[in-house]
Amino acid sequence: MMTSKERVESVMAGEIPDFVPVEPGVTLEPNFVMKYIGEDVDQYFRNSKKCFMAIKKIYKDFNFDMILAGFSALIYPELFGGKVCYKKNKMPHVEKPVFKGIEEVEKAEIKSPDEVPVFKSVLESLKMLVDDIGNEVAVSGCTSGTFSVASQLVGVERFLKSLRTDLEFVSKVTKISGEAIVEVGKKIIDVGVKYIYYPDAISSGSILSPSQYEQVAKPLHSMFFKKMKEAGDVYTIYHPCGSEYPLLCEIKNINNVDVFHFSENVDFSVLRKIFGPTKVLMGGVDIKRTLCLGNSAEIETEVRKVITGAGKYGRLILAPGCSGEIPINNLRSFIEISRKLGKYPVVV
Amino acid sequence: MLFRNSIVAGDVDKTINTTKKLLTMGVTPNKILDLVSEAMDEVGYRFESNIYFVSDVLLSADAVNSCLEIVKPYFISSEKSDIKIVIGTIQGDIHCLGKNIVKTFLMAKGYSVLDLGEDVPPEKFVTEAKNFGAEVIAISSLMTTTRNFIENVIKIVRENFKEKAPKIVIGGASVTQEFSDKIGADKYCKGPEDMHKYLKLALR
Repeated sequence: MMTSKERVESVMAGEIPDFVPVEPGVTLEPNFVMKYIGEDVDQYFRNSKKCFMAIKKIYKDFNFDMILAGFSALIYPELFGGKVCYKKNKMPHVEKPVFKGIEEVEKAEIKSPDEVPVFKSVLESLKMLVDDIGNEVAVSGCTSGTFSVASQLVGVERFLKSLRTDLEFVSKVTKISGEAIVEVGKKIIDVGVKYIYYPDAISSGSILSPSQYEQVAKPLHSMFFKKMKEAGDVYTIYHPCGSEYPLLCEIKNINNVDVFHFSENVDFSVLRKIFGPTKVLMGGVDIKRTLCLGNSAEIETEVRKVITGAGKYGRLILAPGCSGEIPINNLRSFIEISRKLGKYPVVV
Repeated sequence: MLFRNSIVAGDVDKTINTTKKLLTMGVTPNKILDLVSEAMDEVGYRFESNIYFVSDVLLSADAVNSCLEIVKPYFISSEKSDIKIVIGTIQGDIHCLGKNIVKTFLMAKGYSVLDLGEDVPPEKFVTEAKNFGAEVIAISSLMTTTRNFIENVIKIVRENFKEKAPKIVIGGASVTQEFSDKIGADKYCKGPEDMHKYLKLALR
């Protein structure tokens, strides 16, 4: 029997593992992680040891194959001197936009992630995960996406309106956001993480038109993945975060992406045809309906559909379509069902 | 047509100019509100049809707000604003984009809307609904982690209102029809147009 790490590595190498690997989507969710050990959500970002211990405990208790952990767009303003509030039992949030105008953006200086305590803490927790359990499970470090970070720096509304009214502003804000994310990605690589996870909700198909995606977002995403490949021997995972259909043609053509993490909004059998037999696909299980509210029979139906659609011959990582907080019973069912149905050769 | 087009195009300057022009021509504020409503119908249609995207809707919302600022002082009383709604993003969530779009759309449709902001505790939704005399509590949520708080709003409403309880409408990326059914919300709405259609049926 393979270890979790070997299972994921086998998928990445284009081989067929013993089971379809599973990533449960909960370890990137600070609320879930810290509640699991009875701690406050802000500790995810501010106490590396507690964050590490919580994620390790979840992994040990549920026995899945890939851990997603790392940075949220919400804390990036700190890299630019912005003030982020951390309150008990609340997700961090920026008090006011870091940049009001283009002049401020032009003068922006990016601090090294090493110099900012909250970034240092998250990097330390990633390092602890790699050092302690990285030999048995695939550890993936999340950087956050360029549009998501840019919108935190100038305010979401301002950013989105500027997409139609002030593309120069958008270009400058996304440029510095992209630079910051690349720096964070490099630091993640430095601590030994082999999988770089890049989710970008603000450039999803529910927010951008296909032409906005093609002209503004895609070049930035491509740049990020290229830089990561240049920085180290890593695998890259891109999560377009929902409403993917209108953007699929563009997403497919982004270079240097090893794994595409799609939501349940897209049919995985269609994805397999579009992306071909060699691309690794991840996701597919509906978190909002099935994993949060459904029963084990519904979870089984959905897991079966994803495996049948895209995983019969490997190249699949089962996961929720997005990260989130899943009830413990359903989390357990999801992993058990994935093991039951995902044993190769799959009979579904 | 010029006025309507200026809102659909999200042109704030043109909207301000044409609003003023309509008022000087003697067009009543109620009629202007009708035109705003028609314009937002088109914006809603374009959004649902993937002709418009979020940035387009935000600009149209800005245009509507600029118009409403001008016509607001002219309203003494309006039969259109008899339905009162409190709206907010639920506790634990600070996203405001969807909530703000819905708020502007509903205001453009003539509803009286009290915006409670973001990260609103369940108790506050209920207290403010009572104080405001709201017939509707509209709750927005983008994060699945906030679901318990939404459920709490419904529990508190059921405990506090024996009769004439406000309708609970939920929306946002983290909620679904199934979740709405499970917690006993009165309606799950995909967007502002959907909510307006529901309110017309349920309350008018």
